[in-house]
Amino acid sequence: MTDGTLATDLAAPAPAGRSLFALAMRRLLRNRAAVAGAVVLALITLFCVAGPWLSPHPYDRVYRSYVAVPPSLERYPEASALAGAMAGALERARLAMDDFSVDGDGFRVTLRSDRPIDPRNTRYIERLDEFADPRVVETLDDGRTLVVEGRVNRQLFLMGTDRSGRDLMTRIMVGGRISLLVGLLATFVSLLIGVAYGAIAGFAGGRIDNLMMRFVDVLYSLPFVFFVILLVVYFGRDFVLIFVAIGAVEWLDMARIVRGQTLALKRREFVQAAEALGVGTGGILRRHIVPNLLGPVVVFVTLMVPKIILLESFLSFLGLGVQAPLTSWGVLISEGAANIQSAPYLIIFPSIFFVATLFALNFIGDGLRDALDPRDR
Amino acid sequence: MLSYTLRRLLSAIPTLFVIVTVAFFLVRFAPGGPFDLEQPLAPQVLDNLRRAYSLDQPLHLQYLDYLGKLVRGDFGPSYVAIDFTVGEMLRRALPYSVTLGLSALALAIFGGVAAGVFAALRQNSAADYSVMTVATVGVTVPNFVVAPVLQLVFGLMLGLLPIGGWGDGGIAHRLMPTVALALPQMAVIARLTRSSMIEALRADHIRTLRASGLPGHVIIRHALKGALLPVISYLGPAAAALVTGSVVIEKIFAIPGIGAYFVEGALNRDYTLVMGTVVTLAGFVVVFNLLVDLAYAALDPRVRYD
Repeated sequence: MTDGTLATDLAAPAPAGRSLFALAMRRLLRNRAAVAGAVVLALITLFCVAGPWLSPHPYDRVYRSYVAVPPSLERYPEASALAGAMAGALERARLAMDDFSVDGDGFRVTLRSDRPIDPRNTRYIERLDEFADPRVVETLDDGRTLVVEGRVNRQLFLMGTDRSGRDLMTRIMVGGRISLLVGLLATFVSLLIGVAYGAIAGFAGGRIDNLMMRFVDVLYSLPFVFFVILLVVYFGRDFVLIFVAIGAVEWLDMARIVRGQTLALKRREFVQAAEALGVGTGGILRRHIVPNLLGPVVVFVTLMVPKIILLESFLSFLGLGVQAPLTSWGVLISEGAANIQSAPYLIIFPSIFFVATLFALNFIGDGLRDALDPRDR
Repeated sequence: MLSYTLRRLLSAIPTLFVIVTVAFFLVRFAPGGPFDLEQPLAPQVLDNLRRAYSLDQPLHLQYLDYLGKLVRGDFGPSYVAIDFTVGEMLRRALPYSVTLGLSALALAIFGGVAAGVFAALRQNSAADYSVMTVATVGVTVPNFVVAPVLQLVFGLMLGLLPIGGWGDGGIAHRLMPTVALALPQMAVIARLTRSSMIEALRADHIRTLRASGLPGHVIIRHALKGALLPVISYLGPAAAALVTGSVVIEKIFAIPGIGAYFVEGALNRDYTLVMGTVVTLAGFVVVFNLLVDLAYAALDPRVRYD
């Protein structure tokens, strides 16, 4: 018998070990709402992150010809609007229009004037979003009549355009990037502060703990949102400032949860063993306390991201969030609310993405809590 | 109990003090001021203005002066709305905000508790699931989405209610803002009530009541007493959330309340107006938290008064 077969013989009968992580994973995967939430969140994230690269429209491109057009599966421009658009362009160029025709993706128009026409007048046609690549194919009557051919520029606005003529779908993608990013970064800031503060308070115990937690209590009863608003108003609507301010406000819950867990962990045998072996406070915190806090912290983080996205949207809704032309879901919803009568789709589409994301994160958070903390069920 | 009340009262004072101080210095250290107009004022005019509002004094004197006046209930003059004191503006705005806030709070409590009890009594039935699904929607969807949707459906499509303004303060004008403001808190309270009611219904003393053959409504009343404690302790955060939410709701429904003044003052850098609104709103939250704590201590004998 060789060493190799011995090894496989020994390995085969050994039951597949189920770590705590594997068990939690199994429970999580059985929770259909959480799995659905994870799938939806992954899809929305993919949509927002990859979408702007694939979208034919830049998020800040203004299409003057398509201001507040409703969502449509058909490509713009509408066939009936083409002749009018061309007539408008030529009027601005002070030219008369003869027989305008559209053939598939191309158009053909005859221009007429009393004086010879400067071929550069095609710029007036090109400037419209409906038409592209106009070129003079025939010059008649000593230049008083031009035949111009070109392409009809067909654009797809699946979710319509906003009041400035920007593609709503691309703006939702870019706004989603900002909202998700602020959610993650601000959560990270509050995670750092909250875990450090809570772990130190819980581990130190006694008077220090008392003092630190009283401080949290005092901060807790302050209506912090107002201070965030003041910060943002007076020190500029800086993107970095927004998430630092939000994160600095939202660490209180985290500190409380972490402190409670630390108090419980501190009395466990392995911590006492480490103490008996002479491991320092910092070492115990790093090696034993913080890793064991991961479960509740992960749960709390998933529930905190939607809260922060909500807060950012709240600020943006009041006009205190990110600045144009950049956007976030809160800005889009606010713009939609202002135009609810004339263009209800402007609020419907951003709200769908926003609410779906919040739902997904909440379901994932609830699922994680159930999976990681079986006592709670 | 009396000493607990006094101590709790005293502990509210430093909180208010911190709020006033932070707000004061935050506003003063910010770049720009109320007289930074698009067309710069002549230096002489600016000097006179600054002297008139004693902005030329050293900062600590301004601060002490402000504190002294605040204690006497004087919020100072508004820098932007000339001829008005902040006190006058707040007094004019307060009735709208208080009416809106209190009716939303009442709706949130009664609606939430009723829905929670209803769901708890039919645990795991279709009715329970549907109530809880609606509650999850209410928790998740923020009121700045709910409010425009309500306006769209009831104001524009059905034409049943006015889409904004306060009118004569009648129920028609108040209904949508109140519902939009109350909905998220109502949903939270419903979820809280449901879970604590389910727990209360399993308690030993309720089982005894049931075994003694008491009628259903008596049992519910007894269970509810215990189940309401978590709801009461949630009222503090709920009030803070309502105050915050009112800023948005007042903006959406064009109600001239304190929240609207706050945003306006912040954008115009109207120092005293911002201070006045922050202090008023924060004071309201602090006082409400105090009341909740006292009520909780009175209702739950397990709370220690030391």
